[in-house]
Amino acid sequence: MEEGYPAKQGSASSTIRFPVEVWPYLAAVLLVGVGAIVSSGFASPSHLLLILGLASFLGLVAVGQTLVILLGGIDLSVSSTVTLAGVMSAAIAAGANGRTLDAVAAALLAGVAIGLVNGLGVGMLEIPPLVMTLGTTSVVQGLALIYTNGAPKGSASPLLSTVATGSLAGVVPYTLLLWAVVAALTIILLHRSVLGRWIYAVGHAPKAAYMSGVNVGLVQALAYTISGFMAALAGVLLTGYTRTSYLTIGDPYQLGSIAAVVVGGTSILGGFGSYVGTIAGAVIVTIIQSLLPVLSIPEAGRQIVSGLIILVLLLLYGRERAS
Amino acid sequence: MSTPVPGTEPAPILEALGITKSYNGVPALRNVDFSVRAGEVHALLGENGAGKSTLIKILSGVTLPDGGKLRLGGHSLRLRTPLDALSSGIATVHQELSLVPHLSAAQNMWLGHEPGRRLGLINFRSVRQAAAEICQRYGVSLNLDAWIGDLPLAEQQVVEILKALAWNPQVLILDEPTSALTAQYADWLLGLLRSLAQAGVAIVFISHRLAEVMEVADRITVLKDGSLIGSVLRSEVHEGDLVRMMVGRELKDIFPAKADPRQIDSAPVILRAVGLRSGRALRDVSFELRRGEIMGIAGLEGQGQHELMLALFGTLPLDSGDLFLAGDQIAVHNPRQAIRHKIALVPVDRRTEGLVMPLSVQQNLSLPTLRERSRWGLVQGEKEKHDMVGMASNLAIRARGLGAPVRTLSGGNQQKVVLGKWLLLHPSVLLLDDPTRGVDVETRRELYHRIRSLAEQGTAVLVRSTDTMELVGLCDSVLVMYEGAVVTRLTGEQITEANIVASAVGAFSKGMALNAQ
Repeated sequence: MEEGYPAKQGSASSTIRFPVEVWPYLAAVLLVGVGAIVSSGFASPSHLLLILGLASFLGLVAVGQTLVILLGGIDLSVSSTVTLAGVMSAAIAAGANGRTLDAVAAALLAGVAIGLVNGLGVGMLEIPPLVMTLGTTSVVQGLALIYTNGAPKGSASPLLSTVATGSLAGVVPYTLLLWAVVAALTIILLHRSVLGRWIYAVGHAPKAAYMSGVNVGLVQALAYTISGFMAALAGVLLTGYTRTSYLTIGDPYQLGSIAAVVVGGTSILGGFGSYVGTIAGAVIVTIIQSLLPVLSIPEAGRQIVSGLIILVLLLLYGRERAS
Repeated sequence: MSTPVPGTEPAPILEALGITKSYNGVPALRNVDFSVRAGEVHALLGENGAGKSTLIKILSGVTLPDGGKLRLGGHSLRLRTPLDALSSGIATVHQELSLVPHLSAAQNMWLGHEPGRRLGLINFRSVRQAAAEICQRYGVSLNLDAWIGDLPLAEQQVVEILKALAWNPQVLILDEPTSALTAQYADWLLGLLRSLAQAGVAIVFISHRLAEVMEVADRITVLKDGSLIGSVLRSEVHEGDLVRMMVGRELKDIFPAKADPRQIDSAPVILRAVGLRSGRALRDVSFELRRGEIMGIAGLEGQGQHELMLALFGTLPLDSGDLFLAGDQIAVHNPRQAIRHKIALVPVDRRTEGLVMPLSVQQNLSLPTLRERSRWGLVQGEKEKHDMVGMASNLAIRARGLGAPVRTLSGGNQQKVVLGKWLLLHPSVLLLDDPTRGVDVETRRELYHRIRSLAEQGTAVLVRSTDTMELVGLCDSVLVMYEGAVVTRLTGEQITEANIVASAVGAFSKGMALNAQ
């Protein structure tokens, strides 16, 4: 046993692989360049901050989506959760500052409840994530319809609107600050916490994780619950941003959040990736979505383009893994 | 027998000349010459990481060499794909099974070159018939229609071998074919290799079991660290010579000294099982495992040995029976509960159950005990690193570093990581399910000594093995199982290969007699 062990090499966080993280950031910079060419002022600091502020909503939803996809799952119900939380916070607040807390708390609780149902279904009953979250999507859409009777009522409280649309010193949007804090917490969660380590282990090899004493069902339940909470948070802020709410407010976030995660370099098969990449992914998806109208591409075209982008990226990523 | 007579040796049929191959700058083969003649069984020996599998991959068209050339029947040969090799008459049984789980044995056997194929449509009847003919020709009877995933591992391995034979090869390469076979199937295979050789097939055979190699090989080539050590005739060497060539050590040094039987008998019982039952796999298993004891579980393949391991670790539900740990009754319904009672399992399949292959050595080592190195849910990085560096150097794990993904390690070092992650738990009961499968001699020796010193520190060890010699060399007592029950308990001098086999087969004949009545 006299062979010495080279202790100085290596680190625990080897799951962060340099190239995978860097590419989406380069792509984001490239897209800003493209934006500057097609539309003057696109690359101005104030516009970039506006873009980042917009990207915050997607970035928040993509927190949960990143955790869930790292586990080898998927959460399709984020869109309907955004919507339900949105219409709830508008209806309960009904434009009054005094009911802000009630509105926000109720909407977030609803999000947690949806996430918990997904988590229990996937983690305990072992229902495939695609089926489980598609099912809850439909149920939550129905609930939102019943809740609003088809016509969303009320509006965000002024306080909520100030938070969602305001900015620090008139420069940095509050939503961006919130996103920065949440992003930092997410990165710590993934790379420094016990739960994060378990997420990667389960994502790569659920059986080996189980045989090592990891509570696989609990890890999954937590990830989906976080996803529900983050989607609801985004829904609340979105209502504050638009002041009113509507029944399709969350729709872009289903594919959008999955796109942000995948564009950010996380494997759709689970195990590989990190939220560091997702941040750039959320920015990229937001830039594309804001560039397409500038290029006067209609809504239908935008949907087709974002769908195609995801497919192309999945193809590229699949090739990379296979080689 | 086709032992070549010097001077009249036939020309080699398949030759590899000056083969070199590196992976990411790490040499796996250095200028290796290897050749096999028609009608000879040529064994390839070496520790894990010696380059055997790389050489096999080059000979079978899976990997391209960096340098050197191949010749077949005196003509130069270039293999770009496995299909090139197969159509040149070189068929290979790889170590990893390449079967499609949801196809039948028959369909797997003929996958890719189905007989009676017309217009891209498969004639399942002729596939079935051709498979039945192969089984008959080579003297095995298998369930050809069940999904292959539902057959026992040993039978899957047999199908894998028949699948290679379905190509009617002139060169047959087998990479550790017997590691997943039962004793009977291993005998069948060794007989088959001899008769194939007599019929003029050239056979390349990799095995870790020296007894097998001595039984079946005509010529033996030893690799070490990617270099050729030597190529010798079986008739000119003894097992001891081969071990020395491979590792530079005597065979008897591999096993540590056993415990003093009187000391074991007076030690307290750590784990007591009473009447364990689970479906058809376990029918009434009872035993007492004492502090410091290494107890072996033997028997023919599939008599409940593996299921007993799973049941004790909580991954196989028990229908009835009681478990006592140090006198207290315990319930073990999942691995978490087992781990809480400090019961650890080194599972049979380290690739899917033992390790998270893309994660680092450090992350794998610390996975079961991560919470002991965390505060407020956050991993204490420095403490983790300190503990893992200690364990890695303690076990002499050879890796590029603690951050290296565990999949980049050799099989033996991977198994050390699996053992290491459980040593960090300080287990009171250590379950080892065929722990040295596919592990090289030198690492085996290290593992055996580690296990013994663990027992000396008070851990009770239960080891299931398909290698009877391992149980004889390592264990203080051996339970022989048959049809889900313990039929014999051997201790001390009674633990011999002959007694174990006799008990397993004796029980088997008794069972047959009962069934016949």
